[in-house]
Amino acid sequence: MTDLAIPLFLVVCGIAVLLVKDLMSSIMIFSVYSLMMAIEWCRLNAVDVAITEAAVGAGISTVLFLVILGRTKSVDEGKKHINIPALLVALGVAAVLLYGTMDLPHLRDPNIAPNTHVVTPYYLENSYEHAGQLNVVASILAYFRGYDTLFETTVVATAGFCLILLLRVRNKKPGTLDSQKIGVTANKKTPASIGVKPTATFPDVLDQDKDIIKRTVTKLLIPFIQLFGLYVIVHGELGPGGGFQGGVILGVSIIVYSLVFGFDEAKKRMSVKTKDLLVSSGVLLYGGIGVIALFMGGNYLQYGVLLPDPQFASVVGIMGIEIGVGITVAAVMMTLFYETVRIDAND
Amino acid sequence: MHMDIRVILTGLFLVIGCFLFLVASIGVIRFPDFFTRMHAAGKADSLGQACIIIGLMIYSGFTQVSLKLLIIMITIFIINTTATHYLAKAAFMKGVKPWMKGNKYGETDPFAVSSAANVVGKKTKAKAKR
Amino acid sequence: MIELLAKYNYWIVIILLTTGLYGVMARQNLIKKIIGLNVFQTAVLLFYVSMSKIEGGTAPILINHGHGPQPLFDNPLPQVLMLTAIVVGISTTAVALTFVTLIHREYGTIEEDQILELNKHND
Repeated sequence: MTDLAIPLFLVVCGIAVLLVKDLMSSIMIFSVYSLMMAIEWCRLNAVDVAITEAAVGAGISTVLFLVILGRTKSVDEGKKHINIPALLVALGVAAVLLYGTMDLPHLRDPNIAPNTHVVTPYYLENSYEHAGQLNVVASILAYFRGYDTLFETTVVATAGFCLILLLRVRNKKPGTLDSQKIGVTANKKTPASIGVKPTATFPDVLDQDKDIIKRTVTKLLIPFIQLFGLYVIVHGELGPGGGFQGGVILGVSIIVYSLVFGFDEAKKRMSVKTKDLLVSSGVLLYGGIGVIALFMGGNYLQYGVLLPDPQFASVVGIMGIEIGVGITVAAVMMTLFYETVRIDAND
Repeated sequence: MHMDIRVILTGLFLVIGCFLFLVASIGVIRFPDFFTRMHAAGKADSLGQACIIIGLMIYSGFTQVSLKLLIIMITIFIINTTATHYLAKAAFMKGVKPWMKGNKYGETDPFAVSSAANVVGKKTKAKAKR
Repeated sequence: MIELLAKYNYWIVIILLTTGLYGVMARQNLIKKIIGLNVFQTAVLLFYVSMSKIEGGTAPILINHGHGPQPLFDNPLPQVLMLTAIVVGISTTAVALTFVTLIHREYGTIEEDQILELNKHND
């Protein structure tokens, strides 16, 4: 029965996200939903998925939604009415799926096909001998299914490129808006300040001495956040962790710096040009290790031929690709924030 | 696990921590105003998680796990309290008005100024502008 | 009937899927649509990862440096696939939110019915 508590809370959160009228509350409930989902993964013993969901869903996703909400300045939804055809379609899909679950296996059954197929016991037995990783999830990601991870990293880098291409306006023509502006945002409630706009009228000038709290705390915490991010990347072979999770944490450290100290300060630490280069260099590192394996006489991404000892070579190769993945993911997380914030400079 | 002093102490700290979380949740629901809710959520949550993690540290003994738990506890303590402070400050800067005695209980619009608060409200607004 | 009750995790997944689908189809605000899409994605993740759990299994991390008898592990394969899915999901959300920003810059609003009306006037 305790198994049902968190999934029921998830259902309540999921329904509440779409019923609440205020957009800021909706995003906050979604953040809680993501965090409870991460706890549910922990309960189901999927620790890598849990740390990824906590970092990505409850961390980056919320920040991204809030920044976009601040940019579009919309607070409430418009008028809401229940859409009957959509409800019927959704209920029809639910009925079909319910009929389909008659044949699906029971929960926690050890004899079902996904758990006894020959692939999974092979991965569990050969994870340490061939790949040198104690974390079976990391060995599957990086060694047995390395191509998937390569293209996943490429997808993340492509998302970064999309943001760069779509949001960087070089020459802005005045008066591009030729349609009427409907005053929907004429609402006396404005969203709370999220530290995005560098305005001079804001009473930060008054409270110069009171800003010490957030500056001091951030200066204390950011080195530890970055150290923890590097630890998660490197420690992926021994426990939960890996390239994605560590990369997200590293990216978040620069986002925190930018939120507290201002966007211009953050641009001095991690310039836009460096960040753009880092987005592609991670994928280059990953693909490059595969090409080096080709030159050494093996197949593409066959780490065993890089060094004389195949197991140690696998460990080194996987460490290299995890660092590559971490670099790309960190740079793309910074891109997500930088590109959506710096539109202020052009508007 | 047989009942020795370690288990009893752990249980005690866990119960205190859960009680603090319960009090924080009730406070968030029942308080009438944004700032009072921040009081409940920020303070009771920070102390509650500290108590729970101290209980877990006592249970684990003197190992590497306890050191990691200690670092987690200190980190959450610092971040939680700072975030609470800045949330309240951001709301104050934006113009959320505190609940005054005599307001309708459970005012839903945080920016509304009721009649009883007009006199006192002008003084606080003048101080904030300076 | 008892069998249906034992498979409660699929019910949870189906309710969340339906909610996400209704949110994408019926809500007029673009940001709400993207949140509905994310709810849908996490429901699919829940479906796969809940199928990977085995009775009495533990997290799939080898003990004792891979030597000796190992305890019963959960199935690691769906977890790997879902890790990829989470990362691809956040990429999709980021690009979708970029489009919301561009639409707002062009039309001035992010309500779907108002955008369609403005489009009709422009044609």
